[in-house]
Amino acid sequence: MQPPDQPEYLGGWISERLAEDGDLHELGITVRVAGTSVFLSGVVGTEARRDLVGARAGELVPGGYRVCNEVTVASYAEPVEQESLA
Amino acid sequence: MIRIAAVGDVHVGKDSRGVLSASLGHLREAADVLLFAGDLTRCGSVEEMRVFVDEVRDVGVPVVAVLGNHDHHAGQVPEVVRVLRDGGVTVLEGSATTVEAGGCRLGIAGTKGFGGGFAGACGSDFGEAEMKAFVGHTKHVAERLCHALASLEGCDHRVALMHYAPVPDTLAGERLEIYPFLGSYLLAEAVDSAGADLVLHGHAHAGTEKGVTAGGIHVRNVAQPVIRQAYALYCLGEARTLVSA
Repeated sequence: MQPPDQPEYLGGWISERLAEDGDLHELGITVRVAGTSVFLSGVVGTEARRDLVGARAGELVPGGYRVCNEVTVASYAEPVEQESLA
Repeated sequence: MIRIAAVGDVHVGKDSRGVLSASLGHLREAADVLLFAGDLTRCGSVEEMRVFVDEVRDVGVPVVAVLGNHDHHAGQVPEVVRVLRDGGVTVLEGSATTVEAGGCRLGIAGTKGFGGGFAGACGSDFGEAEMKAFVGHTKHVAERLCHALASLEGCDHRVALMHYAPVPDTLAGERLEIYPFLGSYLLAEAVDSAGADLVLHGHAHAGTEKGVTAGGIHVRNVAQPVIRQAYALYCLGEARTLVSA
């Protein structure tokens, strides 16, 4: 699948591919294109999945573009407080 | 008093075994029930749902869940629901269940919910068949939620559990353009009509935790990327003092 000719559509096209990719199905990744840099942000469940998002975006972008993977990994810390709704 | 642990959008995949369970070891000391607000899996396959069930198997409190849009993607809904039920998880879709703990009877009504938008900026049951099907589905699940909540009258407390958002408050942080795909006011209208103490939802990863329906019912977005912990804890009702004779 080829990337769009017009750079204005590149961010949306990458978002769709990351959502539809059978190995990812990541719908929460924000893709922002600034010049020849493609910034990825959002939260995923594991480090492996974060790396896969970056790698797949790297395969998708046309030559000359650079992927900046700013995706973070979810924290599963135990809560330290509860909210009373009495 | 009843203590509720809740989280949504854990998106368990075949590669995430152990991630969730590692944080659930002390849950039984802090909560009486664990609620999942949909998107239990990444793409809704039977294999992923088996991993999810293994993750919550030893949690030690009743587990109640609704499905999310991700859990529908593989087209295996009957199969994944069977995996959940065989694993001891109560699955709600336009239905209700009760949990007794702490001297209280908690009623939980659940649905996946759906989109459509919010009052003044929503889709209508009009025009193309595709649009009618979209809005019609939301109307259908909201109506079933209302009936499920109404069936819980008599419980000490009632919770409405869903995946999609019932109010725009908890979407703050999301792009306005996608609000109609994140929830529907019809869900809030159903809750306000039937009554509840708390609404829990997920789906909006970039949203905000706290909101309220037009009728004044607490709404909490427990999507994991929003609460940024394994689960959120909510307490309904006053602590009861035990008096011995």
